[in-house]
Amino acid sequence: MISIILSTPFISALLMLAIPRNNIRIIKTVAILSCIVVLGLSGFMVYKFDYANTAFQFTETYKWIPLAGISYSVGLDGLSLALFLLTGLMGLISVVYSLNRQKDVKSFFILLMILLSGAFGVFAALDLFLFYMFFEVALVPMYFLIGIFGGEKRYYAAIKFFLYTLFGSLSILLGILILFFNTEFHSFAYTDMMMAAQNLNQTYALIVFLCFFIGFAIKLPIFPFHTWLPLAHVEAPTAGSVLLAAILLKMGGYGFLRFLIPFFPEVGATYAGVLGVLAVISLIYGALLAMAQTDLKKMIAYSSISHMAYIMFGVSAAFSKINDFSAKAVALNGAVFQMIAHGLITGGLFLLVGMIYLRTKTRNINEMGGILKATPILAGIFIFFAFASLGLPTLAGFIGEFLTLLGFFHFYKIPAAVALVGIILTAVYFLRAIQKVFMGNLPEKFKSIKDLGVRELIVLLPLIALIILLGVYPAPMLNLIQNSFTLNLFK
Amino acid sequence: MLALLPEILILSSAVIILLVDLFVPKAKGKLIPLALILIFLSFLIPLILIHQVFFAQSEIVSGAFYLGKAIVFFRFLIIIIVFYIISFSSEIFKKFNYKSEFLSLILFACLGMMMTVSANDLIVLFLSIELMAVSFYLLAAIYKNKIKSLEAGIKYFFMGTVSAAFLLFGFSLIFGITGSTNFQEIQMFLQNQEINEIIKLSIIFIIIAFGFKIALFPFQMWIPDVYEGAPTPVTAYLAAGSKVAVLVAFLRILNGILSPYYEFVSMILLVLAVFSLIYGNMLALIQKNIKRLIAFSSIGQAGFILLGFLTFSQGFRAVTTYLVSYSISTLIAFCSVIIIYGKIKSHNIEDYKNLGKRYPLPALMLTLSLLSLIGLPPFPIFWGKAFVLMQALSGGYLLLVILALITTVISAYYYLHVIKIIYLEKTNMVESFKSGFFEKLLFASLIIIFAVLSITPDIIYRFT
Repeated sequence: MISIILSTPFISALLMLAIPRNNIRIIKTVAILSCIVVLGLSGFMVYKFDYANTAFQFTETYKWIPLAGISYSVGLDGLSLALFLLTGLMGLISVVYSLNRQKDVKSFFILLMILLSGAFGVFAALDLFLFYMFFEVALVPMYFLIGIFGGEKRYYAAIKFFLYTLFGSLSILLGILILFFNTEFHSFAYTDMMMAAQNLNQTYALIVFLCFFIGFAIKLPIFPFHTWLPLAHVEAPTAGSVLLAAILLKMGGYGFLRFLIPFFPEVGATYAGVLGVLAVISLIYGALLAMAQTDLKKMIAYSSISHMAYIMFGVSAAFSKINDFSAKAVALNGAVFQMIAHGLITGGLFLLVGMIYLRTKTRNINEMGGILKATPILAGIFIFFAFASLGLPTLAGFIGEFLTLLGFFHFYKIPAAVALVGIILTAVYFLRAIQKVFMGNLPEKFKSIKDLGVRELIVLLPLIALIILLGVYPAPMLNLIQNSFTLNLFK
Repeated sequence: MLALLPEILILSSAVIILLVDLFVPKAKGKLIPLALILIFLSFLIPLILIHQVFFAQSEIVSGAFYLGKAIVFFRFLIIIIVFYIISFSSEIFKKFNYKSEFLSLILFACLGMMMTVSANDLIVLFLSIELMAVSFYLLAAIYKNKIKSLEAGIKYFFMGTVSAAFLLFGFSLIFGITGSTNFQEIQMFLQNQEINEIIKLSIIFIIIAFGFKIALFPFQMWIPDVYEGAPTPVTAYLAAGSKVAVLVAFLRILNGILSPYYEFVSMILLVLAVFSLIYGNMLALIQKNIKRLIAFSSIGQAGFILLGFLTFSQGFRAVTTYLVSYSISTLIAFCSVIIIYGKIKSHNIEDYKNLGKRYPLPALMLTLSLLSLIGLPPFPIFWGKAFVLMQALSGGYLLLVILALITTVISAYYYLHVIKIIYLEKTNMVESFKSGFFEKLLFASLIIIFAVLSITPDIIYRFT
């Protein structure tokens, strides 16, 4: 089942290669169909998921390169399944949103499909080499998406994105290879690697921890490895930004949760405080930078950095030396929940920025104003997402932020208190942006812009619904995460 | 005798082409198809009679050649490379006057390569390397009217002759110590021989000689000018064929006769690898000519491959995987360059603007091969690099591996620079080209090989 999900986007990309570039309708149909298939199968897997079973489910293992210990091994647990759903949903949303594209349709959708395949593969892989391969496969389509379809500074953004994340990926490769030589039977499989990591001597454990940390920290991103993100987000086309925020960043978080925490409990315990402090800095620094922006998209990019820091709180709490397992569980649940919530919320925000840009041809908040009068629905939805992002209770953002901070507070009281400032700062920049963009006087040139169309509403409504649903009734999601991921960690 | 069937067939093909050109003037136009057919037969017939050719594990012609499984695989690979080189160069050479000489020189070089990989004797190895080299001196200069081509030929000639001298020096020292030129006998003798100054000297000479041929730092001076000046099919042949053949011979020597001295050898190779990695990748950053860019990057790639040599016999599989992937990737890259040059008449990277729209198929092929050269999964060279890195780590060379990874990131920049110009830049030049049927066929077959190597790199293991 997982292999079907992994291969469907890729096969549709191959199909699209064969279709001549003029048949735009067929290309778009293929893209939508494959996204629907993938999302449907993911939903079906949720239905079939056994919540009581803590092992990986839907596993498939085939020998691939036995001489090098590499196997094709995939499987899901609560964490991966939640991310699968997110990827499927955001993939479909990106494709639907991009349906109005008329130029270079073929290459755009082929790149989207390959990107989706890579993303699914990252979350499902249970063989570390396979994980690494999918992790890097996602780089190339993103490079082209930013570089070909992006904004003004797209060359610089694309190459910076690529080189920075390539460096991170190679760092992860180094860590994986060093671990490989420590495994009993020379294999890259997840369980063997975990044993190897826990049996490493101190120096090597630190080296591999650093290798993994650098790689995932670049992807998450965490201060000080975040500088590629604002550029990449701003210059990418809307669908690219959405996928970048919703999925690619989650690969970093997934890496921390799936690999760093189980593999390096002792090293992590030593550096848990450092991670916590870095997270707080990320949160506040990101928020401060967001406050300073006049470019709406850049502001959301920095808010993205700021919100991903909550995941780091969960990681730092999980690593802590104090054995308060219930607090750690709370923090970790919050971290995973925040990943999902952030994907939905920030994904939605980028969509909205794209819609605003389409209408006003500018992202400068100083040039906009009073949009509320011209497009009330768009404004209302943007305000909704802004409040979701700053953590208004009854919306999904609150659950993620609250749980992670609650768990983090148990271990690091002062950093957690400082982190609360971040929430205030988030409110500041969002409210400021709302005021400047939507309130006030409406300039002449914007008087005739249209409100949201059908396609745009279709894209935003599922996000809105999920954000409210998860905010009001988070229990199913939390159960999924708790039973088959968090509890597993503390066996 | 049948074991040498591929060599015999290639030699006969070369002679046939020369004779046909001499005695059948009307066949001037048909020489290239004739050559292709002959090469195809040289590939097919031994393949059919593969039992006699493949499993002849023992020495042939009283110890002159050794035909292990891997060696036979490489001989076939060389024939495949020759086939593609000639197919892709047919457009350029339509109006060329020296077709038969060109074709037969390529076949002689092929013969030299095949003998290089299978040589089992010092003199045979030297002769085959020389056969290959002399053919290449002439091939590089075959555009008699172009200064750059002549310069390439002369430069290669001087460098190559010096390296041949070093090789002969090294070999004669070994002969002096062991009293034999046969690999097995030498190996038996040297197993028990402590390293002394003479052996160290001979090792240094041999490494210098091979370093010239593989273009390691500091013996790499010839490579940018020769790659740039020689006709692109010749460059492709050098990169995909000669480099691979010489590296296989180098690997066999290091694993065979020089295996007792691996500490000394790896010490030297380590230094060469570090400098080659840094030099090749840094200088490639500023290149404006695609052939020079690939030339400098190949210095870096050679440095990377040396990481696999550091653990000797265990590294054999890793190095072979890398070699095969590198050969195919470089072949695809240069063949795309050949085709593109045929249409836009320039090797300047700036002129590749918007090639993704103007001439989609070769642009795509070039891009895929460059992505492979960076070392991105799932493309073939990624597997080569991963296996080589595993070998280096198992030998404990952590810092070297880190350096190799950093230079990979650097190499990503200049490879992406080319890709960026192909796909991301727009120009006003709207002249676009269509790919012919044969071009599509050739590229399709190459992409199938490329895809197979990407998905199952251990298919090389099976054949070696």
